[in-house]
Amino acid sequence: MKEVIQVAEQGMFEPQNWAWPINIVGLGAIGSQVFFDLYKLGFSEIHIWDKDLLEERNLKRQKVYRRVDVGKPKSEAAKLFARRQGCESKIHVHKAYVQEDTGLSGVVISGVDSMAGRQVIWEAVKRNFHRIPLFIDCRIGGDFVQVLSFTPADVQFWVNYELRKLFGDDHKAELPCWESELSAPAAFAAAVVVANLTRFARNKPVKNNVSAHLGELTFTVN
Amino acid sequence: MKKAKLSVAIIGTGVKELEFETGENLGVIFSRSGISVSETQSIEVDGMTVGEDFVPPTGAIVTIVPNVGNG
Repeated sequence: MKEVIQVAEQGMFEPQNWAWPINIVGLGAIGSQVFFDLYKLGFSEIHIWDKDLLEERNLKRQKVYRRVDVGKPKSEAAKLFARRQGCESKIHVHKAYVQEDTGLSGVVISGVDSMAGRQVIWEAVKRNFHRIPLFIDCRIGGDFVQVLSFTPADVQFWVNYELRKLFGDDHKAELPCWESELSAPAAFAAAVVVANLTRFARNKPVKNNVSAHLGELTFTVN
Repeated sequence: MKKAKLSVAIIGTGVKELEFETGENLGVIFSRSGISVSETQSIEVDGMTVGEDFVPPTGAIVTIVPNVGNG
């Protein structure tokens, strides 16, 4: 009963009252799932960043695309998909990769597929840190997921992320492909993103490091 | 030095309880316990990534995670 009362006291999360734009950088397995979840929730302003063109092979594991849009920029195809679904959010399409000098404002959610890409995004986040209240970096590999979330102005996390979490692509684990990698890790990452956004909206501290080993259903949350 | 304990969770392998002397760093503790951390893995304590020179407090929960970076 106590749990029920606590939830009721918090009230419903209302994304339409959310003040910050959302930036989703990378529209692969993670980014497309995050985009789907956030526009379905009703976030009013979403920027989507990806320069890649939609390929046939993307259709199986990336959520917001249709075969008829193969060959179009992913960002454009994702917006078309959302509009067909009745999405009324203001969606800003950026047919570009985020560069170090890209001006970012609002929450930044990274779901790119290389560490080199993450380093560039981090440089852009640092340059605009005073306009970014929350940075979320989602990573998957095999059946393992990690979601790192923090306020860039927090020096402790800034330093730990820059020195310890931005390893090079040559230090990335080569994990065997797992059958449920098709959707489960990206879906889990997106669920953590949504949970942290709702916590942030309620002025509750976000969970800074959520890791999951989905093959064993083990989780660590800090 | 005092005897202390910590838990090491190695993703994909399981959890080990290790005994160590307070003041010892993770490199020493791991070496004695036969745990090696490859360059494609990271050591985390309370969600922060640390090096093998980190001196854990007693009762610490140490996690060894793979370095994943796909999207």
